[in-house]
Amino acid sequence: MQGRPIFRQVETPACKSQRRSGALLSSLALVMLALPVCASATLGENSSSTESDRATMNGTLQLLPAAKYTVHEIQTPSGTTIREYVAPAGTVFAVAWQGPVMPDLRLALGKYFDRYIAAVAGKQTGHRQTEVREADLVVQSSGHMRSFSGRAFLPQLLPQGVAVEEIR
Amino acid sequence: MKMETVRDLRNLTAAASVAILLLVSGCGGGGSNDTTFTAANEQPVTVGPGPSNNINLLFTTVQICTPGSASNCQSIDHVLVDTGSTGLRIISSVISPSLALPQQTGSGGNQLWECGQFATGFTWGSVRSADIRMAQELARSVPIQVIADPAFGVPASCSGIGSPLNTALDLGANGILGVGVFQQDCGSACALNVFAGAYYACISPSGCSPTQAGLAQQLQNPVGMFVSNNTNGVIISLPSVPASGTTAVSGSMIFGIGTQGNNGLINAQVITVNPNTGSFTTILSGRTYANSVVDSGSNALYFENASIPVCGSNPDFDCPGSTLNLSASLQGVSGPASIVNFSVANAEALFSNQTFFAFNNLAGPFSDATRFDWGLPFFYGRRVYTAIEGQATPAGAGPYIAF
Repeated sequence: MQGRPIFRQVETPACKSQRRSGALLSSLALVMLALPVCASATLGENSSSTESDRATMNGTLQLLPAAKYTVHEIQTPSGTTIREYVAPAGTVFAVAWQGPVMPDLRLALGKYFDRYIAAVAGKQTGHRQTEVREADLVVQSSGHMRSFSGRAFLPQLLPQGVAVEEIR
Repeated sequence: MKMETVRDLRNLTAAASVAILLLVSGCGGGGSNDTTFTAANEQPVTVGPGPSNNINLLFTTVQICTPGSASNCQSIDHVLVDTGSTGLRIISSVISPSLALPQQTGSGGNQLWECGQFATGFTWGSVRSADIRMAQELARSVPIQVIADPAFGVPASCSGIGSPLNTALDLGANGILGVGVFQQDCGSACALNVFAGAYYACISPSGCSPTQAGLAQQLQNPVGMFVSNNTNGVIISLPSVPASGTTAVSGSMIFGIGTQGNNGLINAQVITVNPNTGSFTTILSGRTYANSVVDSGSNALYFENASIPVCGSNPDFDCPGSTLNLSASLQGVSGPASIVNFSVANAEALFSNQTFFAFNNLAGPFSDATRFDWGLPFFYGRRVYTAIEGQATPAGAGPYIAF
């Protein structure tokens, strides 16, 4: 990212509820309104998924154009920022997060979440960090209560000339 | 197992059974009798094999009681002592139902549950009230988390954080005692906002939804709630260990900083930490790690350094050809920097002795290049102070760490 590029607020289309668990009933309607849930898919998906992520996270979205990609930055009510990196072709090739509260990685990683969980099973490095580093998927999560950070990216979908260090 | 070089888990079932037997035998009884030779504010801690047979885990035995009762109590062994988190969390399966710990209620009178947040995953369970006894200290009606309480399943927005840490095997312990620099685990973020992944209001039969939780309702650092005046922090005091490691270590956790004869700061170097994140800065070989922590809940020194090779059999740990002797500078938010000398040994060589569980020179890479996690190896041979936010000490108010 070079400096603070221009951004624009994105309008929020109405969010269709597609609750995964179906656990919330009408008695919690107020909470449902506050936290609308949409189809969730991010990493590896089309950029349109970032808007549903924003809606699910009840956050605000800014688009931050860079030379080789656009960052869709979601500010959540918890104070945590989620940054989704979109290639010119429209695919989300990376996601990064930083802030006091862990984000919903199932939402951020989409179809890669289950692979992430399976790959880190049995690690003996404690609870402050974990990492998957495979040819087509890297997921890194670290930190402690009130200070978390991490990123996930698809190495094979990184636009040419984009350094991994830019994803943060 | 992928991580066979650390410890194989073949004795796990036996170890877990022993742990449960110890727990059962610990039921009943009021104050502990095994503190005869230690001060009233001094709690024994140990490093050795635990529920996951992992290395460098610091354990203690915590007594939890029905609020207001000095006799309806249970001692929970193998609770991880963690200066990197806040609050007591115990696996429900090791808690005797006879304690009948009262369910905490949140705003609106609904049951308060929590998704405990860790970088690797989550602990899901009810928030209940317990009296906590350690050494001769007592904290009354402390909100604790009963992990994997069966009444409500894990909400999807909680399990989305990562891996479940809801068993002793997952946690590597029967519970976690968070005695870090923060008095509450989440703090004002959860008190002011509603968001998924932290506190939940649960109603039967409909389920759980995210809720706000006031500061007093959240999980608390029990030390800050002691009825004594030893509320401003803890000292973890561990003996040195040899460079090749050792089988087990016994030390103590001393409550209070500068409040009585055995917990003075003496000449400790104080590193003030960021009041929002608990972090300070480490500089090693000209490189700055702006998000550094001193963390008894981590089993190694974790930091990114591409010049140190990782182990061929296990890339989660470092394997230099010969032991590296390094020197880092620790810089707080204010105050002078302190120099820390430490070593990084070859982890495969360390792990070759399957009976050794304590290592002062075990290190591994960290995926976030801004973080330096001074884990348990840092604590050996030191008195490490963790001062709680907002509490007065002879070196000023917390939050800070000192050594």
